Amino acid sequence: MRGCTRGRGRGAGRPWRLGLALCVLAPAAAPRLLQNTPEAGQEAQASEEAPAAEGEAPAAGEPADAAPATPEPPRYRTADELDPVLQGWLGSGLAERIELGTTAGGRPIVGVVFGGTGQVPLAERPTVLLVGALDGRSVAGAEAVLRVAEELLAMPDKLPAEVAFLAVPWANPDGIARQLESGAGGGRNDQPGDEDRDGEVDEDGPDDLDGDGAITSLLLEDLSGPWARAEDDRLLRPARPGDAPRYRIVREGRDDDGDGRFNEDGPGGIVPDLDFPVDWRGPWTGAPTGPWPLSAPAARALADLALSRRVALALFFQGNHGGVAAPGGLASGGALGEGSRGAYAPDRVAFELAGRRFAAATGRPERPVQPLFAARGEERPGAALDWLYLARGALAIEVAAWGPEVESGARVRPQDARFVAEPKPAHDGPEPGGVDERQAPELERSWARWIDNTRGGIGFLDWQPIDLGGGRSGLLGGWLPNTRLNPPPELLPAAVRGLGDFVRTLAGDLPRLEIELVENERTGGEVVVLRVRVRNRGALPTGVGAASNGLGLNLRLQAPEGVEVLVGEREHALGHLAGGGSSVELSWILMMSEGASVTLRAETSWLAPTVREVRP
Amino acid sequence: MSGLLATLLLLAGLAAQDPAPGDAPPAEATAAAAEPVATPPPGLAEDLNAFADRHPAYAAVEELGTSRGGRAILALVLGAREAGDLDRRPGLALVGLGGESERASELALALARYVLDELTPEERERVLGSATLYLIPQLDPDSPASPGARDVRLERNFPIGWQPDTLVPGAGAVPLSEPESKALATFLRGRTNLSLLLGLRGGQAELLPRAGTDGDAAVLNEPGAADAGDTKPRVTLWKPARGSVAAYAWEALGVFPRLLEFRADELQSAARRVAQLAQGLPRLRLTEPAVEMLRPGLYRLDVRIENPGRLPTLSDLGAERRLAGEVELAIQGATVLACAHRAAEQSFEVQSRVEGRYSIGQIAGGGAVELCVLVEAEAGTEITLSTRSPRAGMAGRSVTLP
Repeated sequence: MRGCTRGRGRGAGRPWRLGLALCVLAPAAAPRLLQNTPEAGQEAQASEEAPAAEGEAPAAGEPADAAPATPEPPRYRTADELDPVLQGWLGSGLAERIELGTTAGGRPIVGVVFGGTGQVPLAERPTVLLVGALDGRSVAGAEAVLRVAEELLAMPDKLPAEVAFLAVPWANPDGIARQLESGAGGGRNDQPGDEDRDGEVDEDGPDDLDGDGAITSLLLEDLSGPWARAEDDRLLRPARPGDAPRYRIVREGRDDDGDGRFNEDGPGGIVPDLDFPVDWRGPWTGAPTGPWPLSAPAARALADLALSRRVALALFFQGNHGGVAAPGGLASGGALGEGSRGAYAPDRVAFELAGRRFAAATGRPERPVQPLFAARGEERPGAALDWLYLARGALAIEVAAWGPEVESGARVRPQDARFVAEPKPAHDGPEPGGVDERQAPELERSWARWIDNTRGGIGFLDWQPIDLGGGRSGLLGGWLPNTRLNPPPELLPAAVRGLGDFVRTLAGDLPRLEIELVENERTGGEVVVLRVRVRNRGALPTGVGAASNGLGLNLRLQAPEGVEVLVGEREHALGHLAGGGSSVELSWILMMSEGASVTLRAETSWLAPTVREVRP
Repeated sequence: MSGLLATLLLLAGLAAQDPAPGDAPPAEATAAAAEPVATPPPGLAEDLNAFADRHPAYAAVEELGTSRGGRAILALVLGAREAGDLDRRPGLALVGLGGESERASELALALARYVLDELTPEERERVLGSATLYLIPQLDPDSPASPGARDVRLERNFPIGWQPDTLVPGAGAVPLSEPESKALATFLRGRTNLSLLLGLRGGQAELLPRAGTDGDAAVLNEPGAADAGDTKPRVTLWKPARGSVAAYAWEALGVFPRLLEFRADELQSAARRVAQLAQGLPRLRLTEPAVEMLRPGLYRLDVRIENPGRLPTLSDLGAERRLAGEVELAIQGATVLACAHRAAEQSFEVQSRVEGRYSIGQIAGGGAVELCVLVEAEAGTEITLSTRSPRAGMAGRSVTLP
């Protein structure tokens, strides 16, 4: 058994004996945190506090309105369990099953569409897209989507009218399956890839060097490496000039193909979440992508779905920052523009509203909504979030069910300033900056606090020297799989608590257009003065992102033959109309005979047309 | 020499594909030319097929795909088929993206006429004997029938630097949304032998060159750097705009994009120019190695591999991104004990062997690499040296040990 975390106190003054007792458990117990067995959940519950959600809301995996006598311990469901899950949903009569396609590994990608009352068919309504674990790693995101759908369907009378919900719980079934099976894989699909372009596929993946059943990390000394050990020497910080030793960090494993690089061509190929076209990076940059964007079937299927629907809200349940994040996968701004800090300035109001709704529904602290790269602590080129926002004009948000603040004991203190610190550049080229250059990035420190304060230090293995053969050596250790990425099963209820309310509330904020008649008067003979006001009764604007290419609010005056428009345009491109009852006034002078009418048609990419016939 | 030929065939994986002697093209090429699935554009298809019919040993028509309007997207592939797989020899592609001012169809036909009908057999062999020309005169065969009908502009629909049509009008909702751009991207990606992509209409933005790729900058920016002599018509840097095929070819494939500019009255000289460019493609040549017996049974071979072409065996960017393989040396008939690559006048770098082959990086246009190889074999043994590169083809030589 190799060295394990000693629970070193970090100023908490914890007795060493406690740390030592927990230490014995670490290598064996911690890697099993995600195992889908009732035993695993019970074992974890036995050593941790009871799930906070107990008695307050049904556990994930149970019908929301059921009252089970013996609650099933929380666990992660797999895509294989879709049919039993769907049975309950489809039985409500509200839901329809949608086949999106098949993954590279041959797994079906299935969605469910449902909605409340309304005249408009589901396919034509503004759609709230609920996407689980497209990154293939955040399996808690899949559970979050399942939970949200269950909660919404449990109370159909509270669903906002004329809105469709489209849930894809397992959006990257290949990556999720690998994550559940091995805790590794990085979210890649099952398409074999030649990541190092040596003509061989999948020949140099991670290896369990010390046989402890867990793939952790390997630190390799490198004069130009981007990392150095932080003050808390478990953690790494961006290296500064003069720092020594410096390191590169790779997954645990050997140089299986003898090319001098470690684990650069592991199993699988593409991460669908990073395979979208905006700011996409090709595989030659080391990105887990294919020959061109959307070459992963799961990414293509989701893009085709988004292109065929009026996607107003696109909520991606994934990540481990515990909050909501706006588009902006690149520190440089990428296609959003330099210094954009995520969404365009006029859209920030909408993202901030989403952030407030999230905090209110989940009980988590309200934080400024960060762009994706800042929330994640790493760049996310080619993120689905950015494409949905920029190309489809959707209010695209990453919702992280899991984060270091989910357990209240690990809440950051105000002085930690995690969410207000300036974002750091990407992992591959970090630059020193921020408050204290001796410290690890704040998100890392939050996780360290979490395991120290609530898990007795379990979840991190101390760095230990290891001989890699051929005269090379390294340091083996780091975060155990499924410590930071996903909660242990017993914490699932706490992680997904409130997310259904969040989605329901935000969907209720969607814009609602009204066309009000301000003046509709014959001023003499056939001359008619028509003034109308187009008003948005929703809290959210009528759209976000660029208002070009048919994505903005468009008002069209349809005049039949015999009606002449003397003054005014037949078509107005109005951009995005802010929420909260804001309106815009338009007027025309028409020449029309007695009894004739015109039709006003307001339309956005989000909303089905609002039509009003006007007869002076 | 039979050992050398066998090695070359083995290296290229050509044994099953070697065409039968004579002028007859492979069956699949004939079928592709005779039975295009989609409706080909009238006129042009007949002209292309006429070349293939008249010169089956040197020309074939391939179908890249089908346009949105259901028309066949055709390529005329020129190369001596008897010499082996056309997709494993140095390659050049000429593409017409559409637009009346391009005259890509006229240039393709003029080039085919020049190479196939006007050159002497010896001259033709010099151009097509060791290179392949892919002529795609009309990527958008619908455009002559319905010009301007398309919402998406093909030259903005490729993945590199692409931005959605909310930001760049005409870019499409996703890259490669058009069957024509998808067909071309697929075709180019499948031709790992391509070094040069010629276009007739350029973009404005400049994405080139990248830092750390100084060798590329020299090739890309020097007027006529890729040429073999003439200076007119001009061959210039094809500045790859965002989402352009030039950006895709350069950044994703490491293929040099260049722009051929010519006036209507320069059609013939433009055709000659393309033929010259084909002769400037990278290629490999093995000079006679110097053999020294160190002791009985142990020999030192000084091997020199040259690239007599004007383009490198791979761009610096392509090498950095590992977009294609390196130049490799294989030796058969003797046990190779060690191999070193001359890095400077008196210094060598020891090479590592992978599966019997030594990777020796890239060779600049007009450059050479010198290797010192120590082999163990009996006197009088014939050993075979062969070298290959995805972009520069292959070469071989046999040596009898003294």
